[in-house]
Amino acid sequence: MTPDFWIYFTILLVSSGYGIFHFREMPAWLKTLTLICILTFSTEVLARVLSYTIRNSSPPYHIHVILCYLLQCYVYTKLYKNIGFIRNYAIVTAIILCIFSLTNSIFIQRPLTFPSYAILLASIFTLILILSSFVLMLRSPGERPLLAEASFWFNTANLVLYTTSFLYFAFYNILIASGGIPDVYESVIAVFTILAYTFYGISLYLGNKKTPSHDNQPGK
Amino acid sequence: MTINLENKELLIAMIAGSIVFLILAGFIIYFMFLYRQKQLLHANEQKRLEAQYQEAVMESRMEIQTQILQHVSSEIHDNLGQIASLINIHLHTFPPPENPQAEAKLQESRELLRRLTRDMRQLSQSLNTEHLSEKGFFRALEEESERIARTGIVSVHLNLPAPVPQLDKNIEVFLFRISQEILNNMLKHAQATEIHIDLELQPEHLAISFRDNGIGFNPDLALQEGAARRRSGLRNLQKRCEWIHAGLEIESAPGEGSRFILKLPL
Repeated sequence: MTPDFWIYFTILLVSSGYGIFHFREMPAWLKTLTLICILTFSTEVLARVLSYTIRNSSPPYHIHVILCYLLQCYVYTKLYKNIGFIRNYAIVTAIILCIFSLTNSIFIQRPLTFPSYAILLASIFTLILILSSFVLMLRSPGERPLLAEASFWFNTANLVLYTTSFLYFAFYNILIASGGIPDVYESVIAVFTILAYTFYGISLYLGNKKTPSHDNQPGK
Repeated sequence: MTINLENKELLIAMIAGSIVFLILAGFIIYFMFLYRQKQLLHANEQKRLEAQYQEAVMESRMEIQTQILQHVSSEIHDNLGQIASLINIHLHTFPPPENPQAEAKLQESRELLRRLTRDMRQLSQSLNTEHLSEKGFFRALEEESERIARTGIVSVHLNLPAPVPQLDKNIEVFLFRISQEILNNMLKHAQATEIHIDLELQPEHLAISFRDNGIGFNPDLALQEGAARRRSGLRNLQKRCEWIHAGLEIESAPGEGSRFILKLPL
């Protein structure tokens, strides 16, 4: 395992730990964000264990992609309680993704194959949610500076993470065909993933602060 | 040939990736800039709505006050005035007393009643907004000063500018109500023996100064206490002045009297 993986692992652990420690005081959406961090951490641990035992790390990602998207949808519906579009979009895309992922795992990319198609679809769906969220933030700006808003950090983290995922899996076949994924590409992806989970951590920290926030207002 | 093609695809993938990441960073920076702009716009809009709300509240309060004053004015004129007239008739139908002392008492009662009727009429007029706008601010202020002076509690010195300026009827009513409030406050709280009202016509504004020789007060403290109790005559005065875009300066200190300077832009 490379140093960048250990950094990623540590940040995941710290973010999850912080979330667990302050779980009771957090609003619902931050509790869900904590669950996302714990889920990712567990998936990564399980994947590493399986890669040593059965020499294949793909199976946990088949479950992770579905659960993670469902949790993301839950976060956005909690963040924008009064926005019907977000709720309807989340329900419809969650159903589509579940059906597609299950079909993909059974017939196309079986459990021992990495579920790149499902992740690609989840990335596209999530990117639309993220962009909608940015638009909604612009429609009703809070009084606090943007950098003090937990929802901004969460959205930015998602934007970085899912754009990275999208690009990675959009070029996955080309890269594999050209003789494997080059180290420089892997490193860039790792840096952005580390960045994204750091932003998740910042979001958890800011959202948990006792000061009244734009993110914690009802209906937001 | 195959290797070249694969390298080319890889290069394209890398370049595309870099471009997308640059766009990502640009997007976040642009979003931050846009958000800041929206925040400023939103804050301005909120301020505007707050001012609009305050104006609406002020307007309805003024309307309610006008209606109450109108009602009190009619009651004084129609009801109390009628009773005073009846008493006057009764006094005149009294047979002339033979006792000179009783005659003097009767004359004194008639005189007192005459003064009471006059004061009631003037009070009724000063409360009646329609009458007030017909008469005009300067004439109404003159009468108000005379009315207060007649109470004997304070002496009032009024100094009007030679040519009185023409003001909007609504503003005149507001100015008069503000003046009444200041004068009433002086009567109620200042324990003053003298009140000076000076009106000065400047090229850009009309300055009205109300000065008393009373016990004075701390204006900041009075405003703070009023705000804490959610009612403040001073704050009301300031609001009313804001409503007609006039400035209000309050100069006072304990033991040094007080001075209210109202500046109305012309």
